[in-house]
Amino acid sequence: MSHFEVTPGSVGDAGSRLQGIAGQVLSAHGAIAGCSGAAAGTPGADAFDGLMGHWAAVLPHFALSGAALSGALGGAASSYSATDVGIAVAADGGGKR
Amino acid sequence: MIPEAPSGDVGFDVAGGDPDGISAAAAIHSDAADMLQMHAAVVAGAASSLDSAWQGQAAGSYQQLSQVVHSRFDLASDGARTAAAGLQQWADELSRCQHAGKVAMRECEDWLKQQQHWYYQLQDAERELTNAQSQLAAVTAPNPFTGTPPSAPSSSAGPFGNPLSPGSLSAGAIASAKSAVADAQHDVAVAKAKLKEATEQVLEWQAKGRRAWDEAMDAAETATGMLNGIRVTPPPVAGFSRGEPTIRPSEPWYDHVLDIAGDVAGGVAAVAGVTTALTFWVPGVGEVAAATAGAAGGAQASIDWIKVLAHDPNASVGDSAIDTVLAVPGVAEIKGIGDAPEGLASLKGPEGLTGALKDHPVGLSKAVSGTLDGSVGSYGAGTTAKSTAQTLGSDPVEVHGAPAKASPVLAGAGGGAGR
Repeated sequence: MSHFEVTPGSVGDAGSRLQGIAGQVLSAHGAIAGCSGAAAGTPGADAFDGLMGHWAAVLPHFALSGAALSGALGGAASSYSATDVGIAVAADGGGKR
Repeated sequence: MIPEAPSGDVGFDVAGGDPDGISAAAAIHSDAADMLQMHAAVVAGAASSLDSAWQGQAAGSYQQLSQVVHSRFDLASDGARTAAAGLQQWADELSRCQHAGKVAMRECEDWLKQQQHWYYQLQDAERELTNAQSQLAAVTAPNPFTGTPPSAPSSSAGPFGNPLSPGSLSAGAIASAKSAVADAQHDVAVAKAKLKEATEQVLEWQAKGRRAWDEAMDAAETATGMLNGIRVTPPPVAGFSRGEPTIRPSEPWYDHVLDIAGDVAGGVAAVAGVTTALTFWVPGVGEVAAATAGAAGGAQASIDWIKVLAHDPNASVGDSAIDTVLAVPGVAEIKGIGDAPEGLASLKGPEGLTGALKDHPVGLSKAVSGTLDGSVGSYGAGTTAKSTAQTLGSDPVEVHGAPAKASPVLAGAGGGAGR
């Protein structure tokens, strides 16, 4: 038997708090991409560009992760609210019969 | 002995590179570290705010996922901060070495000019000396016809002699020749001393220039080691039951992913993540599956990127190189084969995870397993987990095996842990 308790508004609020992550991470992604080539002409250029490439590969994951987590919370809040409303409507309908 | 003519080449280079550019990269990494750390705190704060407001299986799954996301943001922040510090140190050192190299180059070029100048001065002075010595030899040579030496001034000419007498003329020529020899010898000595000083200065500044070059190379090598050591594991993405997709800039859909993520961030497609969650996550724990239809009509864009990431063969989801599984205390296990000494008391997994032993084997090549009892963490599911069995009062013993029973819901225990 499953059991859960939820305050949909709180879940939605938590999701809202995470909304800014993706944008800022992508800004950092762009800024770091702009560093490419800064170490040109040095023996550390390959390592430097390697790190830039690594960031370029992983930062979108961080953006997506933040966006997905935010969206998941928002979705859960919406779903819980919709369920609440649905049950209320059903209950009202049953009461009227 | 006159050395070979100076080549005019300083014999070293000033280290290349743009320290200002590297310093700017350091600042950007520092900002990124702050940003990632702040978002780690935001993720943790959001989860903390739901401790009492949301309970149940889905809430538990969310809390576990949130902890891993938080941890990954934190670790990424550490990586960015390490990079920032290392890059700044490199930039400072490169700048110092370039300055020292340029000073050495300028000094070396100046002293090379001095060296060349005094080299030719010495050649001239030695030629003058040779001439003066020949002249002196000529005026002091015996008369070739009489065999007599040049006459001394006649004493009958008075105390000062007769300046026009042959003897006086000869003595004057000898004195003049001797003076010319002395002058030439002086010039040779001066030129030699100056050439020696210039040569020593050239060598000294060459050594300084080469040292600046070597130190710049050392700094680059240190930076290389530091930069190569930074590897950030991306966080799981809610809704991907088979682990995270591999996102590569070379993929044709890469820009699309960024666009979508940007849209989500900007609220343009705020429902994007919702659909993700409802498709994979919430129904997976069976709480509000019936409610998904209400939100299923969310932004088409969100469905698109899910399709792209999850189903497009180019997305490499199934073969993700950075596939991960969650390690949940009390659920995830560390297993491996290793030598289990007396007193084996606990396990230590990757990324600092610890575990309590399920049983207490003693002997060589024993199957060792335990259940995690530390904080939530993660494994790279595509690689063999390397665990360390720790013993009480003895050195750690390594066992090798794969994590199991990790992340039953969120990050794909079936797909990840089984591999």
